[in-house]
Amino acid sequence: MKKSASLKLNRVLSAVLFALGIAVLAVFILFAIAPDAIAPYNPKLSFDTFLEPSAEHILGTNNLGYDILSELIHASRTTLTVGLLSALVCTFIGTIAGVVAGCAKGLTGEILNGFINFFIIIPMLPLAIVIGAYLSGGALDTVLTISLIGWCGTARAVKAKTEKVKNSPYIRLMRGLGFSRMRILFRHVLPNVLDVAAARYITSVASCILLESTLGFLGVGAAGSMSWGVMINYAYKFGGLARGAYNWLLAPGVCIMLLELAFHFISRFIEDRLSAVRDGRSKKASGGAIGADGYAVAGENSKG
Amino acid sequence: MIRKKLTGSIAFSIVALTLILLVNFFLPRLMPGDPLAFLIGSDEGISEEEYNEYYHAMGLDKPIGEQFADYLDNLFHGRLGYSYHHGRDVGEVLKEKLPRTLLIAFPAWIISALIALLLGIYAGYRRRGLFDRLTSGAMVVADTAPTFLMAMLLLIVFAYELNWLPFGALNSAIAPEGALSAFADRLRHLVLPVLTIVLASTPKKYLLMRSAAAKAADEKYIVYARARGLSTPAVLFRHVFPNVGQPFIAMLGTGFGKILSGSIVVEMIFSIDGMGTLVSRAITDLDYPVLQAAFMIIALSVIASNLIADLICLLIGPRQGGAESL
Amino acid sequence: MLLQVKDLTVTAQLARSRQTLLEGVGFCVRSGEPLAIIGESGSGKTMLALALLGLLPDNCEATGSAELCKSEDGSDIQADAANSDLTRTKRIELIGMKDGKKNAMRGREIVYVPQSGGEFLNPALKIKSQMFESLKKCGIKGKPRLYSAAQERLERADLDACVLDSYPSELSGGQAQRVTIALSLSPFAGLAIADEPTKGIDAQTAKLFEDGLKDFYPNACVIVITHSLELAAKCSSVLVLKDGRVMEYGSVKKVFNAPESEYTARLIEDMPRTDGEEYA
Repeated sequence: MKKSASLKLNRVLSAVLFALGIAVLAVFILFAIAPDAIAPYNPKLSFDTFLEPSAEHILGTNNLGYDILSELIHASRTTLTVGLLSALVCTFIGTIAGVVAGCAKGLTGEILNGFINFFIIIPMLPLAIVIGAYLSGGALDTVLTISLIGWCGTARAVKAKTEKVKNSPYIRLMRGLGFSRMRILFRHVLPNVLDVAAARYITSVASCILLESTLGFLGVGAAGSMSWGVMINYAYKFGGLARGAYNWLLAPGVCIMLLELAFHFISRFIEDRLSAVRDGRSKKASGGAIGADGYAVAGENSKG
Repeated sequence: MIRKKLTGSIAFSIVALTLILLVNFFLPRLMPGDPLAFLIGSDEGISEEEYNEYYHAMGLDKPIGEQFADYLDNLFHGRLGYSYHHGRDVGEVLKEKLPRTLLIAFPAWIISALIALLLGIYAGYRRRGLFDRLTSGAMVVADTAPTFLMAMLLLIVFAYELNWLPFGALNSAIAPEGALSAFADRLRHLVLPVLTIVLASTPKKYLLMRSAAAKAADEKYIVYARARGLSTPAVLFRHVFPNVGQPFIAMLGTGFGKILSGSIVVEMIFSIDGMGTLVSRAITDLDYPVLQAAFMIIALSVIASNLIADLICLLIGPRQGGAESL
Repeated sequence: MLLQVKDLTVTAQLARSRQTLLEGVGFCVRSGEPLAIIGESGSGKTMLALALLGLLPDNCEATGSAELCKSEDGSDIQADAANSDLTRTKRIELIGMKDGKKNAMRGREIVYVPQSGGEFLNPALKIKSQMFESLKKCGIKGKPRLYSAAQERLERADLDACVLDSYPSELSGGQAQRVTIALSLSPFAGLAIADEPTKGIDAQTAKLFEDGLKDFYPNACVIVITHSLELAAKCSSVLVLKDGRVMEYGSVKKVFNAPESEYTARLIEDMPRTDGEEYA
C-alpha cells in the first residue's frame, strides 16, 4: 500500500499547492487593482527614514521615509501589468510565428525556423538592455522591449505542436477531402494549438515578470513608474546594504519569488490535469505509468 | 544527412553573425534621436566645437556605404567604437574587463553543467523517488528566485552577517604576500560570485538533464539492462548517459550565453570590475557604444558556442536512433 | 529447486482508479519441469513475469508470495514443506524483496528472455558490450575468458561469434532473439522466465528454443509464456490465465486433452500451430 499512498499524497499535495498559488496570485492582483484601499499609508508620505520593521510600518521605511509596504503594494500594479501585458503580446506574436513556421515548408520554413532559433539563442537580458537603452523608459516601453524578444519560447512550442497536428491523420483526412488550406488552418489546426498557447501564457507571465524586475533592478527603463525591480534598484543604490536595511532590499525580491512559485504551481497543476485527461482518453493498456512528469522544461531564461 | 545538418548549422551561424553586425550598425543610426549621442555616448556638457569634431571623426557626414565599410574595417582591426565616457576605444575597455568576467563565467559554466548532469541523470533515472522529489523541488524553488535576489542574499548572509567571505572585488585591498596566499585570496573572492551564478543557472540545466534521462529510462533496453541485473551505476553510465550526451553538449553551448548575461547582475552586486559592471554602468550613463559592443561580444560568443556544440553533437552521434534532444 | 507462488496479486494505480492486473495467482514450478503460461493478450502474463523479476512499472504493486526453495543437499523438496525442513532448504522470498538484493540475483540466479528481443538491445552498443556485461555479472573476468565464454554461449544459441561485432540493427529478428537467449544462459540460473521467446521469429529459432528448453537452464525452474502450442506441449505443466486470474492449472497432458473449462478448450484450439511469420 505504500506506493499507492504516496501517489495519492502527490495528488493532494499538487492540489494544495495549486490552491496556495491561486491565493497568492489573487492577493497580488488585489494589490494591483486597489492599492489605495489596501496600503496602510500613502506611498509618498514621509516618515522617519530607514525605520526598522515595526507595528506601524510592517516593512519599515526607506531612505526617503516612505513606508515600504505601501510602496510595495502600489508597485505591484506596474509589475503585474507589465508582466501580464507583455506575456500577452509575446503569446500572440509567438503563436502566429509558431503556426506560420510550422506550416511553412521548404526554404521558407528553414528561414523562419532559423529566425526563431536566432532569438532563442541570443540571451534575453543583454538584448533587452540594448533595446531598452534606446527607448525612453517607462512601463509601456518595458512591455515593448520584453515583447520584442520573449515571443520565441512560445513560437517554438507552438511550432512543434503545429507540426504534430499537421501530420495527424485527422488533418490529412481533411486535406484528402479537399478542404481549403485556410479553412483547415483556422477551424482545425488553430484550436488544437491554442491549448499549448494558453499553457505557455502562464509560463510567459512568470518569465516576463522576472525579466521586468531584473531590468528594473539594473535601471533600464526605470524612468516612469515604480515596480518591484525598481524598488530593489533604489534600495541598492541608496544605501540599503550599507545600512543593513534588509527589509527594503529583500521584500520586493521575496514577493517576486512568491509570485513565480504561484505561477509555477498553477501551471503544473493545469498541466497534470490536462495530461490526465489526455491519457484517460487514449485508454492506455494496463501498466502504463501516470501522465505528465510534472517538471516542464521551460525554454528561455529571463533571469539573465 | 550529416552534411545537410552541418551546412544548416554553419549557414545559420553566418546569417546570425551578419544580422548582428547589421543590427549593430544600423541601430544607432536609425533609432529616433541623435546618432552621434548613440555612437559615442551622450553627454550634455559637450560643446558645439567638440560635437562637430566628433561628428566628423565618427564619419557621420560620410555616405552610408562608406560608413559601413569603415565599420567593418574597424571591426576587423578590433576597434569597437569610441566611448566618450571612457575617453577611449571601447575595444580597449572591453579587453581590460573581459578577463575578469571570464574568471567567474568559466568555472560557473563548467560547475553548473556538471552538477546538472550528475544530479539530473540520477533523478531522471529514479523518477519520483525521494531523491528526485527533493532535488527537483529544490531546483524549482531556486529557479524562481531572481539572480539579483540570490546574489544579495548570499552577500548579506556570508559577507555582511557571517563575515566568512569578502564583500566583493577580486582581491583584498591589502594584497597578501606570496603567490599561494594571493591565490587563496583570489579564490575566496571568487566563491560567492561563482556560487551565485551556479545557483542561478543550474536549475534549468538540471531539469533538462532530468527529462532526457527520464526519457531514456523509459526505453526498453534500460528495463532489459535491469533485468540482466546490471548495477545502477553501470546502467547509468553505459546506457543512460549516451542518450543524455547530445542534450548535454547542446546545453553547454546555450548555457554559456546565459551565464554571461547572468554575470551582469552578479558583477554589479559583488563589485567586480568586469564586463557586467561595465554594462550596468553604461546603462545609467547611456553609454551606447559600450552597450552595443558588449552585446555584440556576448552575441558572437553565444553563436560561436552554439555552433561548436552543434558540430560536436554531429560528431558524436547519429547512432542515437532518433533521440531528439531539445 | 522449487518455485512456489501463492496468492500473487498485482494492482496498478492509474490516474483516477486502481486496476487489478493479477489476482490470487498460485502455482508451483520444479526444476526440470517447465511451466507454460498461456492466455490472451492482456490476461496478465507479462505482469506475472515482471512481478517475479521485480521490474513492475512504478505505479504497480505486488502482494502475495513467491518463494524460491533450494535444498542444500540436492534432495527433492516437497511443495508446502513444513518448517522443520528449513535446515535442509534455503528459501528466498521474491515478492517484496529489496531491489538491491533482487538486482544482484537478476542476470545470475534469475534470468529473463524478453519477447521480441531485438527491441530490448541497446541500439547504440555492439552485441559484444552487452554480452560482456552479462558475462561479468556471472563472474567472468579478463578479455580472453570473456571472449571464450561469449563464444560458447552464442554457439549454444546457434549463433556465429562474428555477431559480437555487430549492432542490434544489423541483425535479423531471429538473430536478435537468439542473442537475448544467449545473454540469459547463466550457469547459476535458479529461475528462468521466457516471455514469448518464439514470437514472430523464424521456425528455426523457435525449434532451437523448444529443443533446448530443458538443457538451457538445467537447474532452474523454467517458466515459459507462450502462444505456441508446440512450445507449450514441450513443458510439463500449464497455467491458463484469463483477466488476471488462474483459469486452469495442471499437467500439460491433462489440460490439453481434457480441459476443464470451455474457455481453455477454445483457447487451445485457437493457438497457432507454428509461431509467427517466416523471417529470412
